[in-house]
Amino acid sequence: MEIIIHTDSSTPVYSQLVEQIKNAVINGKLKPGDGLPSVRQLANDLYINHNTVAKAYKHLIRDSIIISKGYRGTSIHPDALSNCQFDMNAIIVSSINKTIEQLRNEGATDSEIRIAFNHVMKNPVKSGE
Amino acid sequence: METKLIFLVVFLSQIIILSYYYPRNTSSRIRKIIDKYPPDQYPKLYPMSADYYKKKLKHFEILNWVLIGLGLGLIFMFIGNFPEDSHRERWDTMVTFAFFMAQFFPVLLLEISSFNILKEMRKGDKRAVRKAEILPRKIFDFISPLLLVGVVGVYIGFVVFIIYFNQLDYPWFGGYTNIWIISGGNIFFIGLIAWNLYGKKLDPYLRAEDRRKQLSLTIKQLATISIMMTIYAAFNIVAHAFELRHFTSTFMSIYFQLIGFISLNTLQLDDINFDVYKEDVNPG
Repeated sequence: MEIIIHTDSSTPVYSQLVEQIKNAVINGKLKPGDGLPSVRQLANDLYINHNTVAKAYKHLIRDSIIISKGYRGTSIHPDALSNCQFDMNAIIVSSINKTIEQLRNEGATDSEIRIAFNHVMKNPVKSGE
Repeated sequence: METKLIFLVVFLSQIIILSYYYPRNTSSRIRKIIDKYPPDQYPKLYPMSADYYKKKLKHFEILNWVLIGLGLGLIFMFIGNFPEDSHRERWDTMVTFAFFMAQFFPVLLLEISSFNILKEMRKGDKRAVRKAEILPRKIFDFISPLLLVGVVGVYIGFVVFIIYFNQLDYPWFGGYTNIWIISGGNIFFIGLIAWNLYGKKLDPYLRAEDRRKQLSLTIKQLATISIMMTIYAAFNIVAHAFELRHFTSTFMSIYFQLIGFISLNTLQLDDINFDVYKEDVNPG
């Protein structure tokens, strides 16, 4: 199976990697336990930065699509297929939409929300503070 | 007299095989590529002008003819003066080694040119679409476990041999340095294998299956050379211990020819897909 990336696409390369690996799991091209190339191998084969592949793998590990076995490499998670249904992006968008709706109802303007959002993103407040 | 005759025959064979036979094969292979896959139909194969390839090839051929002349000169020198006594200084071994290094020089220059060509190829590759296999490359995909067991077994055997030999108190014996040298060689080979397996693809257009074939050949060559290097080192020590030093230059010459025989093997042209170098194909 091949990974195909478009370097001139507006979609970031790491997202293309994440999506294609997820699609391969959904289509049955990658099965639980199948090995994946190392970060170095895939980055060198695609002539891209190692950090880009590492970022994609980090996202896939977080979503339990792949598992890292240390020196034994990376492979497809046993529950990868069901975990592929989990869409972090959809959750984030839905949650932000709800918050924006609530703030608008309370009278906040879009400009105030945008400024506050940017401020919070730049100066995140840790929970418990 | 017999020692000298055997050496002269073996040394002549070294000249013919490494400075005539293999260079001729290499030249004819490159010329065949240029003729069969010309720049107008396979432009991606020529990041530099075809004249550059022809010029480098000419240098390669001239250097090899010079080496043939030098080798024949050495044969005449050996006919006039060959140290057949095992206790005498083994300058013939030094000369054989130096001549092999000289024979390796044109190959090295050609390799450097190839690296430059591949570098230009990568620079010229402006494709926005890139492809890669989503398969881990592992050493056992390319060589049999038996060969790897052979490499490890021979190495362990050598270590045991050196430990045993170290107890025999030969004044000339280098002791554990032999282990460090062979270990260093093997570490170098492991590094080369890792670089081949996981490093950047030198030819950006090479298809995954062709790369696998190339990798398999390279890894098998390195594993075989590791075994031969270790056996040769042990053999040299034994030859020294049994007062067979007058044969060492002959053994060395045979060893170099075998190294050349193994390392100068390349994939058959028919086994490589050259369509990837056509202008209209974009296989990744």
